[in-house]
Amino acid sequence: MFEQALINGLVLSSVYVLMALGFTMIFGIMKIVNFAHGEFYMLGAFALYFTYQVYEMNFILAIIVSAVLIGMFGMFLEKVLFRKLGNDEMKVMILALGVSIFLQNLGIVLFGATTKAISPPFQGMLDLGFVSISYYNMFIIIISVIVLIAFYFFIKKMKTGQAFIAVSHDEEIASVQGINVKRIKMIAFGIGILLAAFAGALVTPLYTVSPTIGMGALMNAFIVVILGGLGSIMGALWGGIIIGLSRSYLTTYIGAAEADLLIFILIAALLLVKPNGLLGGSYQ
Amino acid sequence: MFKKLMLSLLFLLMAGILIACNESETSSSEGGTESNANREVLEIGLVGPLSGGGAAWGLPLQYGVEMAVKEVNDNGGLDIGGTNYNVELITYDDQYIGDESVSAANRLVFEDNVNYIFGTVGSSGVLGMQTITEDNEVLLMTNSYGTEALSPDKPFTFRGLPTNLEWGSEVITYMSEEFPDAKKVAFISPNDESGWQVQKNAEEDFLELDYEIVANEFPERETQDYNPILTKVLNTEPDIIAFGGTSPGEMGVAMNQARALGYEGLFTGFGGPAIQEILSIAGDNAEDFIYYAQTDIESPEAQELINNYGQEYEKEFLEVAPDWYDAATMLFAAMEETGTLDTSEVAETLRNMDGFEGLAGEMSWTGEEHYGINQQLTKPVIVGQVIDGKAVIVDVREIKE
Repeated sequence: MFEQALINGLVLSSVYVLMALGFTMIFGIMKIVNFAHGEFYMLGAFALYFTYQVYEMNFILAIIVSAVLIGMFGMFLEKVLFRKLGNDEMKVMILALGVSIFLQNLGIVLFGATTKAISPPFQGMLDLGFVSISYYNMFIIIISVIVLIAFYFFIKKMKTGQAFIAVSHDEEIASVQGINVKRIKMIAFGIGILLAAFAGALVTPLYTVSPTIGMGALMNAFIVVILGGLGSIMGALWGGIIIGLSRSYLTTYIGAAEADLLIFILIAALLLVKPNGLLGGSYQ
Repeated sequence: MFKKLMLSLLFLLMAGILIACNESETSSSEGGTESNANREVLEIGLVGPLSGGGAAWGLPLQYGVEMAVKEVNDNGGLDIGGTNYNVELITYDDQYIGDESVSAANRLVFEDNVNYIFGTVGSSGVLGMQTITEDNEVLLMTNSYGTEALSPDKPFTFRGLPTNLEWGSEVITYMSEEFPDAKKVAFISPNDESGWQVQKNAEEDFLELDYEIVANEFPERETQDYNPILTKVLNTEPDIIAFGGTSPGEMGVAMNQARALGYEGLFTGFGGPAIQEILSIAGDNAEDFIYYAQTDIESPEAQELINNYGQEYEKEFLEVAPDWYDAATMLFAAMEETGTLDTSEVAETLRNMDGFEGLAGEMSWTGEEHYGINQQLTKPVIVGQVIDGKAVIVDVREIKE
């Protein structure tokens, strides 16, 4: 049971980290608490439903197309909506809430209230005797690790990634150094949304798709980011791993209802000691 | 220029959708094709989760009542004490949020001045609505699995669909007869009032038949990853996984994940069936799912109803709609039989109706034993089972009082 809980926890952690990465990056660079993040997760899931299930695109290609399409939609929204409100955090937060409500209702109008499902492209499982893991769960963990490594190199080694860090520290100085701050913000928002949509598309074959799935995903991203520190990339990584494993082990050994209660108590206790979360306060 | 154009288009799109949403929240439905110029209008309210996570329960309510209204209006309206009435529905979406149910009840009773309301589903919404409907003598034809919904001090509330307190023991008896070796039960139920109530009732029924309860888990609603819960549950080696009020979508997901973890036993559920939605998600993984089928949707009577009045609706939600059609038809019959729209008198007539012929068989009102008042609908228990990936009606049993 211990080993199975570890596998379950790693799958949960993978999804939490992907969701939280985009959420925390958008806050770190743009100072936006993106309440619509869960709805982009939902749109990613629906995009996969249509590209893979309805139009029978290759699965890997369908995930990439879904994430990129929703990411581009995010960039469009940043350009025509979020940018107009500048750095007024309260107005931007209200706008994000409005976008969330709008997208959820748009989902209901466009896709209906029915729950939809996609069959995993890889059936079966690897049974090692002491633990079993489905091939699709393995796929999720591997793909998440690849995305995280790619994201790490993007931030550390590429010019645009370095520009993200510069803008997150000080927009004015970044601008003086020749960085196009508006463009960087738009790209950062788009990548954050792309990650949310990617997470939504990736887990859809395990779960279900409906216009209301975003709320739960947003809540998980929130918990992870608050634990790790709002705005911290490494915080999102560690927060996701800690919450994923904690939820799995606490649920397995204590119970589902008690697990959520204990996680909230632990986070509240941690915030008393470290108000900015584990790694909060800097974009790193 | 391009930006302004895009902004304008976005604004227009948002405005259009908001208007459409608003219209759907307060839509009126009169149905029927016959000329109704000479008839009075009887406005009836309907409240239910027509969008969001509870839509799988709310849309069948809307569809079923609408079908009954269309049929009544097509057949000349309601004849109440010599006056002909055309029925019109005033519909509100509460999104499965208790506060919204209460707001809708307020609007229906104090602004729309209706005396009859269908809905909502779910305990918190129903209990909230009753604070308005009971004081104002508004007859509420509702459905929630909470026992508090019915009591002698709530004479205007009728539960139009049976709960697992009524049918649960019959489904379990079927399982005990067909699968006598399956004796260990693990419960997975939502962590809310409905989930606790349904689980408690079902557990008592299982224990009466000497089953052993080996696990009892209460995950939050909207849970999508059941693997940690199932890992714990499967460690107790259950023969039956019983869902206590879990939504159909979540049941389907949990079935997929349970089979992926190697579970080979039975499934059963004690909430609304929505078997087509479960099959669309779980497919072959739903094999040996034993459930309360409410109405045989394939019966000639149900098919005739759907052919006549249900063509425009989403098929997934039609399987529970006949139950609401039955409840609405029975209420309309009680109004005609009473010959007045006075809710006290109609309630008295309704509560004494016995053997009313519905789509699922003869319907009556019971509940004195459990709730202290006969305002709980009962009808024959139709048991379904997933066999070779298909939903099959396997038994029809009479409820024992």
